[in-house]
Amino acid sequence: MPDIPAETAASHGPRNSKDNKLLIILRNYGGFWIILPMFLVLIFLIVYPYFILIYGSFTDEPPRQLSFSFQALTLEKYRLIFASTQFWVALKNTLITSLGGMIFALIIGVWLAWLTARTDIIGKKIIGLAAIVPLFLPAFIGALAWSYLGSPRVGIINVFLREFGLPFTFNIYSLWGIMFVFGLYYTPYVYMFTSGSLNRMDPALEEASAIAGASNWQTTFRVTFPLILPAITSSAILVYILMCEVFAVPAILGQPAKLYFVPTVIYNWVRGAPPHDLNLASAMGILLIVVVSILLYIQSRILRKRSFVTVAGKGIRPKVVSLRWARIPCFITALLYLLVAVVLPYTVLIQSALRDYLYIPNVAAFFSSATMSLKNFQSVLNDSLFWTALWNTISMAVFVGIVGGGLYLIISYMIHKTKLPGRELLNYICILPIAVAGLVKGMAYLWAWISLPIGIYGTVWILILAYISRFTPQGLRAVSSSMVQIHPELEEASRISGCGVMGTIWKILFPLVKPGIFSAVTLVMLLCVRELSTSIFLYTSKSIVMTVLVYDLWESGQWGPVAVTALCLSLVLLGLVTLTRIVLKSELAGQK
Amino acid sequence: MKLVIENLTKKFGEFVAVDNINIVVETGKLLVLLGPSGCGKTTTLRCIAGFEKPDSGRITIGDKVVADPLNGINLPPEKRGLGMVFQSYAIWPHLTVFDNVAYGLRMRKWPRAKIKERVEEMLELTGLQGLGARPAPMLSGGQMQRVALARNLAYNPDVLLLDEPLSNLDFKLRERLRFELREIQLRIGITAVYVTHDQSEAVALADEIILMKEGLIEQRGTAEDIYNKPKSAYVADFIGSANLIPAVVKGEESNCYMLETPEKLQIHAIKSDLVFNHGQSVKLVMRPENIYLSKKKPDGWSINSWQGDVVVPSYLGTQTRYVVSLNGRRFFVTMLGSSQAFHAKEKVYVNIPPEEIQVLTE
Repeated sequence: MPDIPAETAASHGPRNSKDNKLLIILRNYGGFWIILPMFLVLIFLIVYPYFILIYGSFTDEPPRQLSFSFQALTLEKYRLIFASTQFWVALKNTLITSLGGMIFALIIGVWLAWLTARTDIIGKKIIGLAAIVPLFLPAFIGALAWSYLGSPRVGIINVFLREFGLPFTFNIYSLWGIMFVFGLYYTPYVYMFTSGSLNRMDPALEEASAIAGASNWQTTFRVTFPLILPAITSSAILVYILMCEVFAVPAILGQPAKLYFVPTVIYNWVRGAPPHDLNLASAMGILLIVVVSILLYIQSRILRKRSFVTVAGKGIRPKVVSLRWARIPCFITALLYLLVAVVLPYTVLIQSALRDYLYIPNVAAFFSSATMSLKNFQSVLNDSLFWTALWNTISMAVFVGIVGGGLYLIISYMIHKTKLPGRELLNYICILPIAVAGLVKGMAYLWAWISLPIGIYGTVWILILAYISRFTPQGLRAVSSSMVQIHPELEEASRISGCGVMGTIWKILFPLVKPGIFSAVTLVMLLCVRELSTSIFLYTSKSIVMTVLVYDLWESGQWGPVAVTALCLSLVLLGLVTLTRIVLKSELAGQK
Repeated sequence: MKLVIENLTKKFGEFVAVDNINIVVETGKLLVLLGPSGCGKTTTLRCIAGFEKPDSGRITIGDKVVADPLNGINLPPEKRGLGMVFQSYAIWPHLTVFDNVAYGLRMRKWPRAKIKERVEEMLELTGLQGLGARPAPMLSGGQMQRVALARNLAYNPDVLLLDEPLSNLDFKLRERLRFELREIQLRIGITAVYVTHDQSEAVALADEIILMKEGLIEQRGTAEDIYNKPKSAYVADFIGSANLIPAVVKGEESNCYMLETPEKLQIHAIKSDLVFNHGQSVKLVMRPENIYLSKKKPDGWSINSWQGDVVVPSYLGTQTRYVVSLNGRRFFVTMLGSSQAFHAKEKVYVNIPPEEIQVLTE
């Protein structure tokens, strides 16, 4: 303790003690007033909607303007769910197909990752590209295309099979079919996790195994795979969660065969054939959140243990396994994946966009140009709804990218670069949306914001707010990953040189974190353009977006326009990705 | 400018990082804060800089009070008029060398022409002539640290703070930059506080060393004082290498204490200001370079001379270090000179002058 007692020290100095006390309080508690507005924003965007969702699941009433009656709480909706066979069937379907899809995605993803990272295969760049391209086209477009390829009677594949007299049918409208499509479109996540882990691994670990007398294969199975197992497991859980939550794929491929899944049941209770029951749907949504939260917890435990793998390498290329004669066959497996996941679906999309009729009776008809026309294009491009959707998608993506990006930047700064009180709580709130399926989020926003007298329902604003809220975890992570790389001493050096807090942010932090901001903005834009499951509860004909338009056209059976619109949506995505790459490249070139 | 720290205390939760310390650095002097990690030296420096807010105490630079939290004073770093060199160099990677050095001058609204002139002058001072246009990431570690120095000296700060500035450099460069740093500091006569855990750096640079332990000042003084008259076994062990031998006081003899180690070695040591009682357990400190090895018992040595075995010799060019065993107790001995006198398993006499042995409480 100092020689002077605290009380005396405080009282003998200042002349105007009242003023000074106020200043002291502001200095000590000023942080609270800075972080408070951010908390209010996040409570509005994230906490409040989820609270309403939970509240709604325990009541029997539709949402009203902020009137809560806690006497009326009931477990009735949960009782109904547990008593219904529909729920148990849907849960079983969801869990089983996700498991099958996960295994399928794991096999392809790990295989492709190992090929590119640890073998002398040809065309590594092509394989690497093939393994992530499906990421850019929404899984539901893949599902649409595959429904056309693999429907039991009119599917192109089955037309071909019959033509060649082969005695089996390929039925995409089945649990197996859905597993297959899941596997195809979630492979990129497994690939990225696994190849990332393989590339970060210290080559010395594998070299030590070789020195100890292990062959290439022994090293692969005794050292390499055990070391990347945490990455593989964690990506497996991630894709499992995504498959459990996704709405459009099981809706498109399951409905024709009357196969129901947890998300499609929720959808039907809100938007399907009456009677609707939003309370029941919320209760089901809560159950899905519980399942996902448990999985996320397991994943975080696994990721916590992975530190021993991520020894940064010294830029030494790891020893590769020589495939010898198998190089070409292995390369073909990668091409096969590209064919099945991208080339075939887009071929049928283009082909059916150009056809007047859906039905292709035989192989000859598939290639015939007699029934080709631009009729579908004309009907779509003449429809003002298409242009509304296109404009909404692009303008909202840009708006959300910029405004959301700014918000995530401020939050990230507060969390990682300040000592503001409550910044860790801020971080926890921001990762909450991960545990909530897109469809369930849509329901939460719908309830929460309808019941507020702010009049955003039916406008694009409800979608914009929903996107900003929904993509908070992804956007924040993108900014933060470059924010935490900036050594605090860089800012401290600026402060000591005579530059204030805001000046330091502007002159030092902002230029250095720019690549992170850029990748967050483009990522959020990309996610907005692909978004379907949240929008589907929030749109009206004025605020419709491309993805919803595709889904609506599909629901009303207009296959030709579906193909045209899906192609346009893909073009928008492709344009966005290309633009990003060009800007990133020139940015990198500028830094050199 | 003179730096005065009075009763500085800084806590992190319950942990007291800096415990009521007092420091004065006279104008133009270089103070080294020395100690292992977690001793509070960096926290002290960061309190001076304004990156940590002290819980109590007062920091004064010249006649400006920069921190006195109990009176509501805690100037932000940019208002303190300091310079600081960081361990990570903290060279802004998006700026050129010139812009890095000019940064503080621009903050002080210097005119363009004067900035250019001053930056050139600083680059010359730090041996970076002609590198002004170079982007900062294209520098070596040593060059980066020179830029950091130039950047902080450019605007004539009142006090220069250095936070382990050389610890990321390789050994040879570290030694060279250490001399250059000291030379520049002496030439411009700037007051400096230097934090390090490297005792050889501390000894080479400091006008005064403050050795810290667990938030407290363990000992302060010139390098020579601390090396030759350590107040505790902790200090002796931290500064240079030392043989720390447990012993018990067996008696007194004019100006000497007579002591005995657990291995039954009878040791004489000259008395200091400290007083010990018969039977008290103590620690004996002997510097390896103050112990002499010889083939035969030296003439006139009746005390502090024992026969032992060379266990490991380690030839280092300018000196040879030995591990010698006496009744099973191992001693480290340094013999200067570029020829190795003894070899492994050889019998030698180990001689320690009584005035080279410090007796300290345990």
